[in-house]
Amino acid sequence: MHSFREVVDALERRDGRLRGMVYGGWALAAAACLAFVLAFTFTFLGYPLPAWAMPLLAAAGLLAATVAFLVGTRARRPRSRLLLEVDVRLGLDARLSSLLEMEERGGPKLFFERLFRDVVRIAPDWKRALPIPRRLSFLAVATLIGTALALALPLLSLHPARSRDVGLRPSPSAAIAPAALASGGASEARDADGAAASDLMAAGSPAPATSAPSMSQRTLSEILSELRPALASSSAAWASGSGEATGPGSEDAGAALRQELETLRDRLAASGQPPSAKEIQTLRDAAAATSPDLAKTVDEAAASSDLDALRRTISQLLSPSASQVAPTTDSTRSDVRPNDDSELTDATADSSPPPGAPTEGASPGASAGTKGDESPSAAMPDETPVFESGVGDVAPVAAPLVLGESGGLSSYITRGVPVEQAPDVTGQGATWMLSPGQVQSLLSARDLPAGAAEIIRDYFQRITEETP
Amino acid sequence: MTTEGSLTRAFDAFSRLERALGEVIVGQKDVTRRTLIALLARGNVLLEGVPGLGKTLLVRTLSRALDLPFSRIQFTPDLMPTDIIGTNIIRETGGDRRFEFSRGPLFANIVLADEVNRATPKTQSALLEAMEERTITVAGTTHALAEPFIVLATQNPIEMEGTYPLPEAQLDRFMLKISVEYPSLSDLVRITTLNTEAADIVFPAPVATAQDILDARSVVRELPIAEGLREYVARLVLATHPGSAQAPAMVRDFVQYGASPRGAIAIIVAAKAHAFLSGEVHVRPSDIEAVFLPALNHRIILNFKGEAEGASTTTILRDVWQKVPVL
Repeated sequence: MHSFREVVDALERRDGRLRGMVYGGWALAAAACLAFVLAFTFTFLGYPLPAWAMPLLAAAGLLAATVAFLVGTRARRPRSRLLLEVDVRLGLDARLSSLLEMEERGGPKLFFERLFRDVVRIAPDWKRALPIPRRLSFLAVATLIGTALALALPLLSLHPARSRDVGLRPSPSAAIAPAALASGGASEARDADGAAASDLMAAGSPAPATSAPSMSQRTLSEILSELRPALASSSAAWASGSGEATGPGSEDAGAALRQELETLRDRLAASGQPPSAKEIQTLRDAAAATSPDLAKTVDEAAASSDLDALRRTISQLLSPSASQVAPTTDSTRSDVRPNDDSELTDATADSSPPPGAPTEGASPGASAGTKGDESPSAAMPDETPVFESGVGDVAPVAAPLVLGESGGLSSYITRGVPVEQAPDVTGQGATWMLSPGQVQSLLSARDLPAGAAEIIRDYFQRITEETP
Repeated sequence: MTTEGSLTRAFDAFSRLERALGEVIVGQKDVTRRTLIALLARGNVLLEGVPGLGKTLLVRTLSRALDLPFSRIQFTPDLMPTDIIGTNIIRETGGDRRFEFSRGPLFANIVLADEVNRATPKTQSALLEAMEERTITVAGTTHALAEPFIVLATQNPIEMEGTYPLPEAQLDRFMLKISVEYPSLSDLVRITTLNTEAADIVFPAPVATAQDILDARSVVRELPIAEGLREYVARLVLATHPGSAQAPAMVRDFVQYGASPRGAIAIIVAAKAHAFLSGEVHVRPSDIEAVFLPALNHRIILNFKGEAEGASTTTILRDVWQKVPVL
């Protein structure tokens, strides 16, 4: 240092930089805290910050820190106070501030020179005068932590968002998905966890199926919005009485059953040999699926070895009019009022599948004769599947839910199936009919994102209203 | 403007003076230092202590060492103002009678007002003009006192019967109030030796002149004090006021009136003198600390609670010093 003025200027510059750092640090910390609070709040409100928000917040924080640094650098404090602080820190006994006093107000040159000599001798290292304060270091650490938290929040917030996506829960038993959406082959059993989500996407959306990780990024509303066209077409098919869409698997199963019944009928007519127990069981199951009375007829005929009665029953089952049996026999339920929860509760109570119900081709999507890749309304089958006959008599508001079990079809919702004939789609007896009240309870228990429950509720409401 | 030579001469003069006082006044270094501070700062001193501690001896030694006119006034209840300031008397010369001013004992460079609290307030107030203005006005005529002028008053804090405590206005005129404490054992032994073996007290030869004092005063006035330290002194003084935001709890509880602005001036000037006597050419925080108590001790007025609980102004000021930081 050559002169007192240079010393003062150097100290002022250093002090300005330090204050700028402090100001900038505070601004950065404030921005980080703000980002953290924003992300935290929005995440727990169910609206995770979009991906572009964090870079924006980070940029805003950096901008604020830069402005604060510049302001801190330029906002200089009084020299007398600065120099007195330096005096105290360096143990100069107010020499620097006294020099400033003498420079500004005048004084004996003798005193000035002597004081400056002492200053240079006592404190040659000026950086010791204004070190980076500890609180700034602490502030820097706090800022880094806050920034890291703020930046990490979007990653953290993805988890709760993913867990709230319907059909994406890891546990298949907890998954609920509308089975009507699975008309394009969703009835195929899948073993892998998370297959329900793939089913949803594959069946309900014209877009190609999305992998599970990518689907996890999507919200329920996005998925449902994609499924809405399929829902609409499915509903239209039901409304026109064309039955449900079927997949290739269900078509094959229906054809096989029909073939088996025709073979049995022909053998009974030709040889008069009574059917085997397995054949009787198959016949009974098919009859039971059509009508309890028909099943009873089969039981009585088998007990009395009345081959003619069995043959008539088979013919009745194979005839196109068989589809009208169920409405006739189930017409007692026609008084069920829409949106009546009490009735729905009754229907639910009756919804357990009958013993020995067919496990093959029994799913709503397993009706034979329809082309799974064709429009349901354009492919009215010649051989109406046994379960399609009950369309007109289905409990109108009870869009039954089937909770998937592990290993089987994860989840889907049957629609328009008579509650008495609710299929055991998994073949494991894991079929429940759920009333809207129960659905509401399930939705509440799932802790769905805000709005998701409303969308699902709307969905059921809509399919209920569209039910003929 | 101070030069190297004038600075050296002034400093040397007071160094000699301090040593000379120390040779006679045993064990009262703080007292002698503060007396010199008042002399350098153009102030007056109130020496408080029980009899026999060397207060009068200090003043006499100082006058001898400086070779300056010295007056001792023993204040008594019947002492009249004219007894100390002088009066006009009729003088007849050649058949012609005319009034002539007869100077009182105040017309000296060093005045010892012994037991000043025993005189009536009227007489005490006669000191006011001399102490503050360095002038005496009698019968419409103002007489200037010779410089350097310093009043060193003493009072006994324990014998309060028949005394007239100095009013606050007059107390405020004293730059420093110096408490003379008992000497230590070793100092007391030395005192007895000095006063029992020699035939008489050997006062020092003059070591400085009046001009040396005045030169030194000009040097002291030029010593710089940082603006931050001025502010610090102001904060200290304000903190002695119970209504001030900086006032500690003890001040708010026990003090009725704090120090006046004259107190702040006294601190700064005395701090400069202290720095000079310490060989420095600027005021340090330690200089302020050295004069803080004697400069404000007599400027704090306790309230009833403080008096009732026996609060000490020294304790209160120490609390103020602790609670008010430099920065």
